[in-house]
Amino acid sequence: MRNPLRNQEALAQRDASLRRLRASGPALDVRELPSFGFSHRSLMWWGTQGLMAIEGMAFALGLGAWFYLRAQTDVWPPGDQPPALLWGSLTTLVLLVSLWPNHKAKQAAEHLDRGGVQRWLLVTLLVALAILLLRVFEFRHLNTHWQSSAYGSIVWLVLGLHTVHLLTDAYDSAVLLVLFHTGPLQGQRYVDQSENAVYWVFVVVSWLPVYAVLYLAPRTWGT
Amino acid sequence: MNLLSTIGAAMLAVGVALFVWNAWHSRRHGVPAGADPWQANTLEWATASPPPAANFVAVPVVHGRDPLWDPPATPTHVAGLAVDAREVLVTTVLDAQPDHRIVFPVPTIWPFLSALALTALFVASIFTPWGVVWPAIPATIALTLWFWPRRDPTEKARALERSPLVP
Repeated sequence: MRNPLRNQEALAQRDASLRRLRASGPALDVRELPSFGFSHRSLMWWGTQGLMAIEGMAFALGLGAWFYLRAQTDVWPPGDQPPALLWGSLTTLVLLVSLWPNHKAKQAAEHLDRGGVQRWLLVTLLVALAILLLRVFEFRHLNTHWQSSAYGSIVWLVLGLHTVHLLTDAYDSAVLLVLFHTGPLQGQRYVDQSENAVYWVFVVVSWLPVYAVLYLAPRTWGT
Repeated sequence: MNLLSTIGAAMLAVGVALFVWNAWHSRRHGVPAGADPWQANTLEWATASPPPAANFVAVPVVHGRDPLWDPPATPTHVAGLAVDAREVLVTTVLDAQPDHRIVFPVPTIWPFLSALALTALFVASIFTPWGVVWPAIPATIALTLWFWPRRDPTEKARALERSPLVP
């Protein structure tokens, strides 16, 4: 790093810079800039990405623990049947279908189309509620309890983690849906809905490895 | 090993004592340093000491790596941000080009109440699984009310609004 303060000229120049910063020279006028922006222009996008990075790591840790415990155990699942394939597969199917209304709700938000957001967010929310209902059946047909074995604990932990995300985003969507009907509304709320849709994509995509491990892996690598 | 730890602890104690003495001595006998005793190169030295709320009355525009050493350049500062709302400038990530303005929310009690509810949740979860469930209800309510927009600030934000969509 150069040190320009060895001579008087540089020192004077620095003082001039300092005065310019404090005083008002020609200004950079930002009055006409937009007051919100979508995708990576928005601060919300960065927050959502950070959330997904953290929670994605939580899923990776949970699934890693599943394989670690499996490697430590001779009989897997120990004394239990694997979770019933029907309900988990139905959930997977409906989650994949939900990507479509979710995408329409995101598009509507990015076109500042209030009616479109109201319509497609409602559809997405109804699908999310249907998935939560399916999730109840998944828990009832897990064929293990969290207190019965290490296998039971990790299965409940991972499914519970994903259910928390389902609940959170369903609630998120419900709050936004009410807000898009009642107001008070401003442009930034459309960014919120766009990011809410991104979060839902995370809920769907994170489910795929969870489904593969909880439902398919014990049938492949079980004993 | 214990002796080594003792020596380490003694060194730490001397260091802390020296720091405390230095702080006390500077306060009693020191000369006020002013806003920029180092003739430093970066922006935190360009504001008053102690700094005003929001640090700068007008947001300075930075033209190089060492804004206080570089030759003066124009524009010098940002204009056009609201003074009666918490409006800030958002720039692009890598090039720091001005991108858009956003209005931050007004202060409310709800972040504090959310923190209280979450504290209750984590403490209770040590003792019973239901400790996760019941405090989640006040936490959800507090977080929702934190988010829920107020009418007056929203009106103000709408008055400042420019859509990013090309009409």
